[in-house]
Amino acid sequence: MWLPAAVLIPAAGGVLGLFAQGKWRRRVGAAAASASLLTAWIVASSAWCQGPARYRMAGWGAPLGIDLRLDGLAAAFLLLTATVAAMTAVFAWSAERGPTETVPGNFWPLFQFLWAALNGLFLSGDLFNLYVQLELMTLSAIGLIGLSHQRAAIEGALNYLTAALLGSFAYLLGVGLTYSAHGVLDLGMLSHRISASGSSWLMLSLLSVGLLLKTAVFPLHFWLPEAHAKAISPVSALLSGLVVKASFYILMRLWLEVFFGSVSLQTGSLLGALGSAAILWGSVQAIRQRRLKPMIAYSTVSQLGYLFLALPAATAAGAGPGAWEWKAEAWNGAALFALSHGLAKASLFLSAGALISSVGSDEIARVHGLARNLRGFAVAFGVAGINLVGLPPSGGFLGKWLLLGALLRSGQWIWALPALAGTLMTAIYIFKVLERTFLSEEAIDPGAGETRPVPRGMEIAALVLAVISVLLGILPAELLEILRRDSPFGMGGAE
Amino acid sequence: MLEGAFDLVLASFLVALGRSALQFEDLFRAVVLYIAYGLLMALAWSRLSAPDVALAEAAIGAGVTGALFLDAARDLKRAAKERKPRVGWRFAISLLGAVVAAGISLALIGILPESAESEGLTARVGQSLSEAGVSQPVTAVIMNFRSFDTWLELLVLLVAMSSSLVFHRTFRLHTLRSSWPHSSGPEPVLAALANVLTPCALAAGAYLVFRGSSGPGGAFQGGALLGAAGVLSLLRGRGELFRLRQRFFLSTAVAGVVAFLVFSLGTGLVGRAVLEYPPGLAGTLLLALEVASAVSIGVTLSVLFAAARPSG
Amino acid sequence: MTLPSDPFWFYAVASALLFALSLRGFVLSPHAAARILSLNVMGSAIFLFFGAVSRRNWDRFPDPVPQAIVITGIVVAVSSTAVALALARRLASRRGGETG
Repeated sequence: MWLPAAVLIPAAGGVLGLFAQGKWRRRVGAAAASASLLTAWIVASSAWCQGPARYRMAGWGAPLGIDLRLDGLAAAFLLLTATVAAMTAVFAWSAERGPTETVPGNFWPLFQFLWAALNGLFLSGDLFNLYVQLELMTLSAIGLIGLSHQRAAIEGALNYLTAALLGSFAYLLGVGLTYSAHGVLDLGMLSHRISASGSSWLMLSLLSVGLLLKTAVFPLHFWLPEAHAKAISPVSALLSGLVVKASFYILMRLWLEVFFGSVSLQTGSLLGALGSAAILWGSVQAIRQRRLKPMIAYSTVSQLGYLFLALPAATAAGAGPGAWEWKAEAWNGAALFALSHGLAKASLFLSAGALISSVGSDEIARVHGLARNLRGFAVAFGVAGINLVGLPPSGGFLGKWLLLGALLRSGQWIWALPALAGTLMTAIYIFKVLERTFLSEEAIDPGAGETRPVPRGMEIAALVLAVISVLLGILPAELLEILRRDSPFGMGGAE
Repeated sequence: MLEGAFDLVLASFLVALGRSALQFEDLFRAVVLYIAYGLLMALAWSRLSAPDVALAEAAIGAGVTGALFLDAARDLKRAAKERKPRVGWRFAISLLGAVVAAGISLALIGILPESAESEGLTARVGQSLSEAGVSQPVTAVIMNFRSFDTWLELLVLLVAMSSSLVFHRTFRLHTLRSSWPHSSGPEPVLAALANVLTPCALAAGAYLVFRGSSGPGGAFQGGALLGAAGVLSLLRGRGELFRLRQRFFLSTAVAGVVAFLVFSLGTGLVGRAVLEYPPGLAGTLLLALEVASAVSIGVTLSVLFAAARPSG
Repeated sequence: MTLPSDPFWFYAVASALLFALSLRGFVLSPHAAARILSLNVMGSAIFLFFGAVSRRNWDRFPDPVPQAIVITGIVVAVSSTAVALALARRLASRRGGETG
């Protein structure tokens, strides 16, 4: 199938959007978004209709040229991107008619470019091409953050850009070392040539440090809360839902496929420790917040920590089919968690956006009793919140279940403790909001009762994302089948 | 023996110059030293048999980046003085830096000799060069073998330009006029210089684009010179360039990206792989793409320079 | 064959030193402009490393792939620098600017 279309079509849509003016901007933007959605669906579904695919760009395959590869994991992330992006587009479209926090017309072209970068990143099979995709993604995100024009957003954008550049340079240094030692940039070919050694460890470390900085792992997370909280809500949804997952996706590819076997338990435990610190610290900060969007942003820091709990399990000593099972389970859990978190977090930010649009601010004190007036917001927040806490049945629950199972079976049970603590703390800050929304009888602030009606599209977008995130937990068999299609941690596996 | 000595001296100077550019007490001085560092770096690239990179580093790395910093230095000097770290902290960081440098050097010593056996892709490039449509290997890699990277790179320029314009609250280029008013006072030296240099830069840029097929040069180097011409005219006070039709400007800025997109569509429809050159037409098509890219690069770099100034 | 006396070693070591210097400069930077400048030096140091890699066989033809990578990297770096400087200048010009 036409894999490049997944990158070319969104980019073309963005270019067209640059020329549109006035009310055509969102019309062209919506048309472009629809085309991108359709393309993503066609490409992703070809993964299970026709099986995994490899596309040689410019007709030159690896190692001279750049290959695009589609497997189950890539297809799953393409769909995640398409779903979140589509609902964000619905939100942004409706927001133009909303009372406040309207979405400027400049949003649409940058949104398309971000989408193109994400798709390209998920499909790319070349180490340096991934660097360029990351830069494209970062610069689009920076422009999107700048849409809010507030001083805090500009500061957040500058810190984000600085951190991202630092990460990119670390990654680039890793690319240089890898190429100098192995002479190719193609991920598949590298995985055949790389064996565990000191130099492999150095290459992987450099690549990983750069990517960890971009995934905002504690203690390199400092840039995230401000950038995500101060952007306009659809942008926050894209950032927390998709952009931070992209660097984690690359990490997964590198750890599982290219540098398989180069990672020791010590490194895995170190990352598990950092992940635990992220879970705990992020949750504490989230509980302390008085406004919704910063709370959700800190929640992102916390939830991203869960992804790294897969590493102690995946690197624990063990061989044979039993060990392979729980290693695969650990990675499947992390991937599933990433997917459902992307959906749920995007939903939360869109709900927050609907709230701001209606009430004018996202102070948690003002959500008292809003379930009556802003039903859609309340339900979406509730459903997405359930996913975040990890209650069954939801994708979040399933992801955590797999992760914990893998940790216990591999003997790394100690990491289950921060996971459980994190779940508890997540419940605290989620239910704090839900309790006030649903159960509060009267409003504390006399002026808070006034809610303006919110365009239906905004609430629907948030709701759809929340529901899908829960559905991920209800269809485990199909979903895991998708993830395993020719994936490194499917039953085929690397090695 | 002698050439080794020259490289040793050059590399030492490079490090010394880089170090002095990193003294931030006087921002203006740091920027000027950085430009010098970039030019010396271009010399190093020549020594490394990379004339294409030398051109790019001189034009873009030292030239455009230096221009951006110089223009910014005024604003940023005023806002400077956030914090000055304490002496003990500085020493610790310096020590850490020394450790890092030693570590990396050791790693290089460990890795690079063994890597020499892995030839990299030189041989493959050489084998496929005849079908590439150009005879310069670096241009072949950029515009043919790894053209996807190049297209994305053009997209990065476009996105950077768009993002910069967002900070002006709009994509409309004429709002940049307020930051670049028509030349008010007499600046005879700048005017004379610009009058001479702008056409030179344009001519040299065009030449480099065409030269890239058979020698050092190419779309990026030529485009950077075109961008330099654009920046010169901005400094000269030709802000009214932005009064030109918005669509015209945008069209030139997106020309590179669009040219590649059209090319992809064409190759896809014909049944070849996306971006795959048909045999025989490779040279011509590649040149056409390079011309479109160079124009885009020139315009985009000029707008990037212009948009860096906060409005009004 | 790579000899220790091949000139590219000087540049490889220089790139390591410059990387460390720019990292130190970044951490010790007093303000945003200094950080951006440090990042630029860091970028050029890494590119220089790629250059050394492209000439690791001093007696043979240079490897064009790292050189192409560096050209791409230079363009990406200037794009990022331009955006970063635009952001920094906005912050500088709007001390205590709008918060609405």
